[in-house]
Amino acid sequence: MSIETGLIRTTYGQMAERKWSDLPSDLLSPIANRLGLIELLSFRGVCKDWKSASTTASAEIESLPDHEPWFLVYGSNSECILLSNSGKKYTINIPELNGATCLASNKGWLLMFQEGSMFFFCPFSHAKIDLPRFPHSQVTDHVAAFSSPPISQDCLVAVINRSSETTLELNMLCHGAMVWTNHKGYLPRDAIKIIRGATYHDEEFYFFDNSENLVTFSIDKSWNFFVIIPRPKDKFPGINDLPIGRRMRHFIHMNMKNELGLPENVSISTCGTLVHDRIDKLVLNERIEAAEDSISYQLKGVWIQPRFFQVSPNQSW
Amino acid sequence: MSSVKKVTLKSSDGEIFEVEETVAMESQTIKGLIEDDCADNAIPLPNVTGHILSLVIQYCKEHTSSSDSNSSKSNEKLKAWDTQFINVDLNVLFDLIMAANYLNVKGLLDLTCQTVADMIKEKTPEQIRAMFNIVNDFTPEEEEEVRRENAWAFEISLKNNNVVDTFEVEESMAKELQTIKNMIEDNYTDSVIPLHNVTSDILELVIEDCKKHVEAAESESEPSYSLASKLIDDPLKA
Repeated sequence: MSIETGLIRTTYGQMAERKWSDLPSDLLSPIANRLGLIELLSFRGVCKDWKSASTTASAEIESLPDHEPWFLVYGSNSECILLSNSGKKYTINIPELNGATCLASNKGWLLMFQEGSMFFFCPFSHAKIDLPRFPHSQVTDHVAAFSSPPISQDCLVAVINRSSETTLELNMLCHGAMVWTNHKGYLPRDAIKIIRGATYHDEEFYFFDNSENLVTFSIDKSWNFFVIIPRPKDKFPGINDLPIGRRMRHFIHMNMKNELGLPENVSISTCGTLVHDRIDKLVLNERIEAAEDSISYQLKGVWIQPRFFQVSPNQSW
Repeated sequence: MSSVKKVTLKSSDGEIFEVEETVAMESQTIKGLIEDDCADNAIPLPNVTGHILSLVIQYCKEHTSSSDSNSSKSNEKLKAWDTQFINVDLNVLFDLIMAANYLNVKGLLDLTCQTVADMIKEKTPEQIRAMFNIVNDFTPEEEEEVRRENAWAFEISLKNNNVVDTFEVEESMAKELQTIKNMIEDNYTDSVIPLHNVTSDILELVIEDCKKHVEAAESESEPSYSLASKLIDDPLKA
């Protein structure tokens, strides 16, 4: 038996164990980049080299089309329940969600509101990006959307709420801006009921209610109002395709109260997200009431893609 | 007569391989050498042994012929071939990753990295270290930081027969109980482990005791003893 470079043979021809700890970091990174959230957390816990090779890994595969979102329940304390898309349940301590409300969820980032302050948050890595102070000190029927991840240069945030019987109010924030801009649109309450979902598509913010009404606000500051109808067989002028599908009553259809093991006296308000299931589809926000009006307690939940974003501590808006 | 251009490759241990140029060019490294006219004689590859080089050439052959317009190889067939091909032991896999990187064969690098990623599924850091023979070199502070980051993902819950109380316990503590240890090793950790013979107050005491023993073992004082036998002997109320 010959002595080969890089290989040690004993007289019995057994190969020595390869030292996987010798794998260079530029080969560890492509491995880390292919991991889902739980596997990435395992990977980071192996040793120093593996942890430092994973600084750019963010569980990107969880955002691939056809990956169903997970669901995170949070309430008045820091103990949150996480349900994976394969039905695995976890308990996870996330103090940042204590007393906060999620207004939007997109590709693993959450837009959170807490007593006047707004911030982007990744619950699994605890990455947090603070935003300029929001003009309202409380959120009521507020619904929001953002165009791209908060670290991207062209991130636009829009928060909508009804400010009177006849007007909708939209507060918008551009990446790097220090102040929210305010835009009002004339849309009476009977024209658009409660807004139940928001998303961004092709330079326009879309706001859906839970029937067939749609309001859009484009980046050139113009409002448009639509009614969603089944697609007619022939093309008509003035009727365009709706580029975004909707998933309504998703929490109910997925039997989530049962899956989460929530008791009957719990009411839960959920924040949806955009999924890709042949086309882009918006999971709408829902409000599920408790079985009886008696002693019930309120929980909040959000559909989320389980990403692991790592931002530097001094990452600012 | 087809005059197919061939190149000669020489492995680190002196093995000679004659390979069609199109096949060899699956390696961007070799492609560069050919294009720079450095391939008249045998191309020496000092970082790749003959055994590994023969595997790489096999891969390149399979993947070149599939890009032929005459080839009828479907994507599924190629995927199946890849799966068979990469079913190798960890040592060979390691060498293939290094060779695919050195020779710059993108498809092979993707395949090997994905294989390692797939091996990591459903494994705790301890299990990964055992599989790949890696030493835990975190300092106690770093270990604590990592634990804070990932403990939730690997916690399992124990449930007593009252169905009401569940206790979140770390796997290392649960392993103190021989019976539970067996269930864990049988991969029973996906769901809640039911303990039919134990009431919640007893379970609470057992867990407290286990915690102490794990802490004691970690501080290297007296050796821990199995509590399983103690549990079975006591007659317990339902």
